[in-house]
Amino acid sequence: MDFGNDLDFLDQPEFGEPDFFTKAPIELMGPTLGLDIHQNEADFEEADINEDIGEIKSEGFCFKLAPDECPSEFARSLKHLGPKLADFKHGTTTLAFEYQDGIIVAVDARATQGAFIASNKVRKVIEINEYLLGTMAGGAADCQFWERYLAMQCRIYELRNSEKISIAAASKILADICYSYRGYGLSMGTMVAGSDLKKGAQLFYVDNDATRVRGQLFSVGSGSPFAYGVLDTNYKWDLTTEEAIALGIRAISSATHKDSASGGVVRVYHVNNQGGWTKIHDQLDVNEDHYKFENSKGLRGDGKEGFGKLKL
Amino acid sequence: MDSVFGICGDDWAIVASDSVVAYSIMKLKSNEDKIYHLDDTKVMAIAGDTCDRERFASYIQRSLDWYKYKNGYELDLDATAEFTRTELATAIRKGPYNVNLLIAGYDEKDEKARLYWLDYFGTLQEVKKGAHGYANYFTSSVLDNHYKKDMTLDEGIECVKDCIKELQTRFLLSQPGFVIKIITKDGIKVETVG
Repeated sequence: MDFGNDLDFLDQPEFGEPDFFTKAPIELMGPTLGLDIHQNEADFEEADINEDIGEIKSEGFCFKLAPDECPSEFARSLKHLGPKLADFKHGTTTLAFEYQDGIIVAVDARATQGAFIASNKVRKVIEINEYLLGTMAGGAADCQFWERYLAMQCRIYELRNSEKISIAAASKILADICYSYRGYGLSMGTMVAGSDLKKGAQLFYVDNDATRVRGQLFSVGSGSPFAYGVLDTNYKWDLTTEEAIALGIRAISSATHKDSASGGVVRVYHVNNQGGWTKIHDQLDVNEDHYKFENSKGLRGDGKEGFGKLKL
Repeated sequence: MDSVFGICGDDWAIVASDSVVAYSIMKLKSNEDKIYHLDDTKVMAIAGDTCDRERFASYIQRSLDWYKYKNGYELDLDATAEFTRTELATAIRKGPYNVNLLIAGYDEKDEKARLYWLDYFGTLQEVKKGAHGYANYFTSSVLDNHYKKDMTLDEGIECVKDCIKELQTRFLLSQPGFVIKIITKDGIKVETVG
């Protein structure tokens, strides 16, 4: 019987220690600042994957690969051997939509590990820079790391070209990173929302298959179908900012009510059309919002409405 | 899951594609244009993964632009189709582009419109009518029944509208919007349905 993978490395005494997986420090080689305009071409080359010594050198970083003959098969076969291993939960609800005055970005704050709620206070909006926001769904590490890397690339672009990077280019950088790591198990479902003075506010969806689409309304995560329900029924281009914020909160709130993997607090950001963003709500408790909404309709909101034969 | 189909007459060609970008059980976007303009007289309708579709279209568009700047004139329609096919064929055993496409255009030299059917292996065939994906099952017979020699543009548009109706009636996946592009000697006209 061919097990396909030798998982003996799990039994080694040094397993779990920081040095085990990455012997070399992650050196930020980074692109050097030069006046050579051809410099740019080398920056986004395909990852240099050397499977003999088990590492990927790319974007100035050195990542160790899984200790196996065929690391790209490793991620797939892991699913057969241990379905719960490396099973990144997309337990989240994030949404963003464009409207007349910019973009509203609203996210929940729950992180789950199986049935255990690891945290109700996660920050799923990553502030890339003063005019770009990225949302997080899927693997938190992947999203945080690569969006921080994106922030670095945006700054380098600004320094080289004396102008702010366009949202289309920024989202393409992220999508190209996902493309070079195709098949290596990245897990990210992210929305890049930003604003520049030339084109106003723009919203892109980027995911780990390197899908990149521009759109007016997106929701990502396990709670997204529920959020879509509220958004699609009430969305209009001509919302006022107040109505738009309320819509975002209501959509996240409804999603967290139905989806067990979403919850905690709602965080809301507003990207304006003039090249900046503001944090509208840092934490709005979903429970309070739920009862407020139900009570405003004359209902109790706790399931004990009192209709039907069974008096609870 | 993308639907792409087209029909070609003597001096006109029409291609149509659905406009849905899907993710698991949801529609991420329902107004996506999957028919890319290669230049004023040629279009490429692509069915396949979003990522590969965008990358491949971008690559072919840029390559054709480069040819234009390098040589001072645009690549012919049949040469464009051959070039695209060669790119797909060399990629299949290295890093395949998972895309199937139709290339339609108007050749100014001999004043004829042509339609080409390509798939991700690098197959190339000049056709009068064709379709990719599930659309093949539903629209092939409709296209066959409408097609005749010396079809007029209006008959072609009727045919495409009937194909769309058939897809919306019988195909399980709902595709509410379609983009239709009509190529004639006057250029490319874009229409949307739904």
